[in-house]
Amino acid sequence: MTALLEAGGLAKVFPGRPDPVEILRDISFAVAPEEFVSIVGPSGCGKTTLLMCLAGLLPPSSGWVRFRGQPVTDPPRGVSVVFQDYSRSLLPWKSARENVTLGMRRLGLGRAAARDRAEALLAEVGLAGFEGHFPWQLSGGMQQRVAIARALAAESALLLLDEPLAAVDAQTRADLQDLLRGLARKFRQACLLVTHDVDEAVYMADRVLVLSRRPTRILREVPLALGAERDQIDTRERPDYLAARHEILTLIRAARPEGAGA
Amino acid sequence: MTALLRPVLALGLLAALWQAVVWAAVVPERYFPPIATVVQAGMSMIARGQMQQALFDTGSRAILGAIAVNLIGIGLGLAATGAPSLRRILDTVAAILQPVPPAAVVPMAVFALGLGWKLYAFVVVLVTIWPPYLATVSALAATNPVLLSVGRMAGFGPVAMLWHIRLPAAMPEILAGVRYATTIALIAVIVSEMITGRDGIGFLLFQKAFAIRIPEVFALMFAVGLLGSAMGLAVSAVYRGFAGWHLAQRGRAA
Ligand SMILES: Nc1ncnc2c1ncn2[C@@H]1O[C@H](COP(=O)(O)OP(=O)(O)O)[C@@H](O)[C@H]1O
Ligand SMILES: [Mg+2]
Repeated sequence: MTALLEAGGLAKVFPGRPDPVEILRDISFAVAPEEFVSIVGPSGCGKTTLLMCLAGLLPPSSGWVRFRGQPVTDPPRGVSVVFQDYSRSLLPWKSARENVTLGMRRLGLGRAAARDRAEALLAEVGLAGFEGHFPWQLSGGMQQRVAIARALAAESALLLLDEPLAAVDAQTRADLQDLLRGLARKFRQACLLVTHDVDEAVYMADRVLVLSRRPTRILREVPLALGAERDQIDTRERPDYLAARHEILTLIRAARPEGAGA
Repeated sequence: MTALLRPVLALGLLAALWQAVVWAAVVPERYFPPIATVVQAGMSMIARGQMQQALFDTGSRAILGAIAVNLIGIGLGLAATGAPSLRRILDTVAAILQPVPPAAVVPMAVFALGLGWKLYAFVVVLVTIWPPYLATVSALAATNPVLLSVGRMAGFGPVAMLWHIRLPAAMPEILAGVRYATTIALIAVIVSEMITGRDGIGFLLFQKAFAIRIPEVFALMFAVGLLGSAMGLAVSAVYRGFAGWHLAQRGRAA
C-alpha cells in the first residue's frame, strides 16, 4: 500500500540565543490511508513543531515531507489540522457555523450547500442548536468540538490533531475520543493524533510512535491490533492494550532525566 | 430603558452639582451663573440663529474631517502594511509630526492656506491622521499566529488573509485609534477656529469670553459637549458594527 503521508530525516533547529535550539532530529515515518497513528512524547519535545512541519505551515531545517507523493511546502489540499490552542484557533467574530464553513473553502461548495453541511457536522459533534453561537459563548469543550467539526468539514484524507482533548474533563474526553474515532472511520480519514497521554494514545490508535526528549527522535513504533471497534471499558482491559501501555510507559520512564519528578 | 435613563440621570447630577456650586458661592456668580441663566443665554443664541450656525460650521468641519482622516489613516496603514519601505517613511513622518499640537500648526497654515476649508482640512489631517494609521499598522502586524495558520490551511492567499483574518482581528485596535482621532479632530477644529477668528464655535467662545458674556460661554461649552458626545456615539455605533464581538467577548470574560 502506498503511504498517504511520509516524512524522511525531518529535522528542525530554531535560531535561539545564544545557541540555536535543536528540536527535531531525524524523524522518519509514514501514515497509510485511513490509518490512526498516535504520537506520544513529553511536553516541550517538539510535537507541535512536528505537526506544523507535516502540515506545511513550518519549513523543516532539513529532511522532507510528502503527502500523496507530492512534496509539502505549503498546506496541501486534503490535510486538516485541529490546533492545540483551539480557543484561539476559532475566529471570534464568526459564529460556530461560519467557523465550520471556513474549513470547506477549498471544496468550492455553494453558500447554501456549505451552510447545510456545516450544520450537519455541528450536529454530528453534538452542537445542534448552537450553530449561531459565537466561540466566546461556548464552553471550552464546545469550542473544541467546533474546531473538530471545522477540521472534518474539509473532507480531508488526513487529520492532524494536536492534543485536541488536553483541556476537557474526563467524561467529555472519553466521549470526544469515541466521537473522533467514529467520525474518522465514517469519513475514511487517516489521523495523526499528538498527545502526552499514553492511555489515550493506545486507546485511539492502530500504531503509536513514542518520541524521545529533545533533540527529538522516534524511540519506538508500537503496533497495535485492538480491532476496529473500541470500548472505553472493555478495550482498556484487554491484555494487549495493557501490554502496549506497559511498554510505552517503561520506555518513557527510562528516557526521563536522572532525578526528574513524577 | 436604562440606556435612556443613564444620560438623563447624569445630566441631572451635573445640574445639581452645578447649582450646589452656585449656592455655595465658591466662584462669584458673575463668572459662574445659575443653570437657568445659561439655558436662557443658549435659547437666545438659538433664537438669533447664532448657535445653529456655529454648530453647523464646527460640526461639519469636525465630522467630515474625522470621517476623511480616519479613512485616509486606515488606508495608509493598509498600504504601509503591504509596502515596508512606505511604512518606514510614514513611521518616521509620524514620529516627527505626531507630537505637534494643533495650535502650533495653525498660524503658519493661515498664511499659506487662508481662512477657508483648506486650512481646516490641513490642520485636521496633520494632527489626526496618526492614531488610525499607527493603530492599523500595529494591529495588522500583530495577528495571532494560530489564526494565520488557520487561514493558510483554508488556502487563503495574502489578500484573502487580509480580508478574512487580519483585518477583522485588527478591528478593535483600529477602532480605538479611530475613537481617539475623532476626539482630536474636534479639538483641532475648535482650536483652529479660535485662532483664525472668523466663525464656528471656537471663534464664538473666544468672542463671548473677551466680551465677558459668561452665560453664553457656558452655553457654547454645553453645545460643544453635545457635539462631542454625538460624535462619540457615532464611533460607538461603528465599533458595534465592526467589532461588537470584541465588546461581547470582553464582557463575558470580565
Ligand atoms: N518559533 C520558535 N522559535 C524558537 N523556539 C521555538 C519556536 N517554536 C517552538 N519552540 C520551542 O520548541 C520546543 C518544542 O515546542 P513544541 O513543538 O510546542 O513542543 P510540544 O508541542 O511537544 O509541547 C519548545 O521548547 C519551544 O519553546
Ligand atoms: Mg504542543
